[in-house]
Amino acid sequence: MPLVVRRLLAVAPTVLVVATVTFIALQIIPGDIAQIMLGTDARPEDVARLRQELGLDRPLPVRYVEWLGNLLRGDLGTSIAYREPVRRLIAQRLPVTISVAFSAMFIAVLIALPLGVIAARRAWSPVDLTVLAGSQLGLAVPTFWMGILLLLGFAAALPIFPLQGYVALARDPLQWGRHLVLPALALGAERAAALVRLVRASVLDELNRDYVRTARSKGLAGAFVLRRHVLRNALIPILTVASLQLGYLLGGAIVIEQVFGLPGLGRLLLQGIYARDLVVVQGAVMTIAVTFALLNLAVDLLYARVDPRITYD
Amino acid sequence: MALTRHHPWRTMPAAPTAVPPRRRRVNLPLLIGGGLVCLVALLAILAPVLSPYDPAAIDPAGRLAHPGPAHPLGTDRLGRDVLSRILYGGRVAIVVGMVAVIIGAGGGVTLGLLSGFRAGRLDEILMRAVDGLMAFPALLLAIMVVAALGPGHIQTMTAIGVVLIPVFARLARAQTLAVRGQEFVLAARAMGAKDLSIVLSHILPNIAGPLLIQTTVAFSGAVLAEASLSYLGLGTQPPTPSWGGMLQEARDVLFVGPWMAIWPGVAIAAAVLGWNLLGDGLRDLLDPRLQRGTR
Amino acid sequence: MKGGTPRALIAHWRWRHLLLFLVAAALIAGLPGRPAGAQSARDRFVFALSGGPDTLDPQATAATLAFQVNKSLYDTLVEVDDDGKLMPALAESWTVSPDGLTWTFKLRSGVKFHHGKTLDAGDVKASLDRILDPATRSPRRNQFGPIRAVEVVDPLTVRIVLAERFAPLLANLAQGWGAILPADLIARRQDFGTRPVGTGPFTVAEWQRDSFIRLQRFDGYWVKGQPRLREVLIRFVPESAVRTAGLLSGEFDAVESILPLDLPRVRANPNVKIITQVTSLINVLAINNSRPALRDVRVRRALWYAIDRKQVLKTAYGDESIVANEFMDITSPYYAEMPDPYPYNPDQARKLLAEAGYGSGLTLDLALPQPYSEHIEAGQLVQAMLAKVGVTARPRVVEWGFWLSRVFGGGEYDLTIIGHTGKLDPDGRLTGFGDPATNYVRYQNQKVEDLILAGRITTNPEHRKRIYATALKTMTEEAMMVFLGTPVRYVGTQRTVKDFRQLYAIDTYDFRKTTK
Repeated sequence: MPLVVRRLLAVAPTVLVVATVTFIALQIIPGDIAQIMLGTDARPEDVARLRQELGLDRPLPVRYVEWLGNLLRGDLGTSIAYREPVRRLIAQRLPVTISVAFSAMFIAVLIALPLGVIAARRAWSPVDLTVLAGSQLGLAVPTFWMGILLLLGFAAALPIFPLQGYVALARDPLQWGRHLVLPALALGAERAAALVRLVRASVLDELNRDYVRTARSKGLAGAFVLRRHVLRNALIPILTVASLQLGYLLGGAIVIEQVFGLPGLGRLLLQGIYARDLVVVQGAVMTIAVTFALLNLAVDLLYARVDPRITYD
Repeated sequence: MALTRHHPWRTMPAAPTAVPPRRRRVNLPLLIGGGLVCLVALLAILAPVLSPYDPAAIDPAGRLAHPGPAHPLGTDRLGRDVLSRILYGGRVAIVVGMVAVIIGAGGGVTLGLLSGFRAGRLDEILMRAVDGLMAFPALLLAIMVVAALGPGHIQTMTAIGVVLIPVFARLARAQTLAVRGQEFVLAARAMGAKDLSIVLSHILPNIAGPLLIQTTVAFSGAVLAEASLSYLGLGTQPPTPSWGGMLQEARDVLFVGPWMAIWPGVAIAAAVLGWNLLGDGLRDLLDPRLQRGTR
Repeated sequence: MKGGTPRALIAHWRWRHLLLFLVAAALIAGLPGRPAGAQSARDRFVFALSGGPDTLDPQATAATLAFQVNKSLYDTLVEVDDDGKLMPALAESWTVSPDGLTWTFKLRSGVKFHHGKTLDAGDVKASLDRILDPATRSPRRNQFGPIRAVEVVDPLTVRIVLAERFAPLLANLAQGWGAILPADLIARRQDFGTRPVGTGPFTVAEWQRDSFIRLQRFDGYWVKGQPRLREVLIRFVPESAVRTAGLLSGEFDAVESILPLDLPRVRANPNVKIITQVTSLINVLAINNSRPALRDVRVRRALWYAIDRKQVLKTAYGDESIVANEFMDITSPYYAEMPDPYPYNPDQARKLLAEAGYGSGLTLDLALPQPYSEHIEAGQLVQAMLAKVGVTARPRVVEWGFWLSRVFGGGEYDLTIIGHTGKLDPDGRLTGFGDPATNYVRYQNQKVEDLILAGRITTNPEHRKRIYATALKTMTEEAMMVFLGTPVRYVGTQRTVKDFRQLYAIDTYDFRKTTK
């Protein structure tokens, strides 16, 4: 599909900018990576030699060009602290972050879609006002706080979900699900709060359109109208804003991974920062940003498919 | 974290909304939101007066005391009064929020005005840069800046401010583009008025409304961002009390001192809620004026 | 509106989303992992550690967490018993030449590596050569510094020739970095960091950084009947509250580092038990001796007087912590009983400060390492106490990389709080002190430096004790640092766990005899 190719190409300059911003931003870090690697008892000569070997002494433009070249080849470098290719570290962790993000989105949709529809259909009723108020509260509650409260509640009252850790889907689907319930709930509830207003507004908008009134005046049953036309049309703006949500979803996933000890990209990023492992931080930031871009792209394409009226230049 | 977006309603594609008018005489969000914001601000300003204890006063004997008459919200691991720390934490939240929004709005609006007014090459370049920044999830960008600059509340303010710039830039630009084609602007131009004076006296007042609303959203986002960064250990550093930092400290003592995990979160939620509602209320207030000439 | 709740269509959409999600998730989240085999719970042990190893190559790291795992994968020539004494392991016996320069080790026969090779002297030579090789960049290289050559005498005899007498040699060989690696794989440049091969009781079945490492029994282990467990799953759980919760819920069979404030809860649970262990850690308030105000011994002594060390210790590190009056841990045989030269006395502190010319006040910078909440707590206690004698300590929390390179490495601090881990040999702890260029507190005292060097080349334990005692006494009298004390570590296990072995002397765990 030419559209896919075109859109992928459009992502390329964004990726370049991301790579450049990432590179620049992380060169100003104080703290010496070589010293950390060798530990507190290392001799200064060894540290100096390591710095040289790792190329930390070379000029900035040289390292920048090298960085870009490596990126093109998919080489994200070797972690200084772990001495493993960053690509391998990321490959281990990307599924975790994706699992968290997807399951959170799933829960968000699960909560927001029905609630939004109900609220829209009974606009301005007590039910609707409750939903709106709940949404405001949900938006105000920090995700990590929600996570902590869930930990508190579930560990103290109902120890049925593990409090940390992750099991791969392929190894044990049941455990995978169990480990994700609390994180997905914490992250998803907040996303649901944002989503429900959108669903409600979108559905409400459609409900008041002329064609709906026409259909109703013709005597078609409400549910039929809803299913056939309203939701389908309401989906378009929902998708638009869903892509905006992705940013918060990924950002929230970083924090949630920390709360629940999930070994995802967010954890990797934070540990890279604490350890001053430049290579890992760059790799993790690039991966998250590129994932963001690709997910946006996916939503864009979905958007184009769903609404035949939309054409891209 | 509603850091970088308008309220979801605002980003809907244009459609004549024939929504039934609200049967309210009172602008509830404005009232509640405004009230909460004033409350938080007041408590923060009056913190030295209201705090029963010095927030840094360590009392090893009274560690992890349950909430009671002596300490209404209990004490933390070092015996410090939680209530006092929450009050002082409000100061951090407000200062960080203010500075971050000033940086973001100041920088962003300037960029947006420039871009929208001048258009052409400058506009393209600036918007590419803005797009570049927006290619990052907001929190990720903030973390990156803090990673580069190091932890601390000044660095946090800068980081959040940087994240806010693109949003304000985009908004200001869109509004400017809409307004600059209007008659009174063209007239001023024809009369030979200087660009700067046109921008300041004609364009800026007309786009102030949406910008103001965005400011409230940005503020609530900044408070949330500061709390998140402090929770991750990248923001305000101990012993300065901050709500996010207090939640981080609560992790180790989660089951022994649950009150430590509850009250800072309540404070954050209250502040964020206040700013969000204020923004909603302002939007309702300014709505009739906004319908004209936008998009 | 009539029509009721549109259940059907909600279900319709929910189903669509569910399908989409499941497909995507299955595609992306599937990991190539081994299917969980049917394992009886009795020989599978789950241990919660506070973090994971950075690498499994024992010669590439200095991190305690790495060696806590590596102990199960590799063996050393000599081992440490529960009292800190050295006993034979891969080496059956050893002799030392009268001049102390030649050590000859007789190796145990029939020891197998994980890949089938039998241990011989060539492996010892290759391993030691590797750690001494600058290209390996081992942070512990200087612990084997004086080794001039390693010679293979016959397949089971290896000779180590020293350039000068070196008393700590045996102790250093017992540490994690003295692990013996197979010569054939060293020659083939095996990446031991991710593919470890040793003679240890376990092999690595699976390792997910930041998550867990799964160890599997090595059936050819040289100690018959060990290890008793078939599998040890070590989960990395940084939060102590979560570790404790996991212990109480039965998710973990054992957890390390229970915080003192969780003890009542754990003790109240009849299904778990607590193992209390005195560590060899010494927590200190380090003083940068090269700073203008702190060069004056009166100021340093004043700091000591100003701090109620027992209070700080008990509050930040646990009630059972032991105060230290010297720079040696109480578990070491080289510990010299010493009274507190400067007992808590704020008035005396003020007097000394006034004498030194700081009667009107003194401002000092206090750097605190971010990952250690206990040091941060201690820092705040210290700040409060110093304030009472007119010393304004400004705490700043710095993250670990910064602390290591700028505070510890660069000396950019006035005061800082950190813990010093124990070493088997006192030289490990004391080396470098006395010469301001080689210790991070820039302590300068020629006599102390000479004493420490003398201790290193003296092999007679009694002589060494006397030498070190003098050095320690001087360091204390000159208030090189304000020593806080030794914390006690609490490990929790399920009641049914037997023989859970913690080697405090080298801060690691030995699972060979453990059973559930």
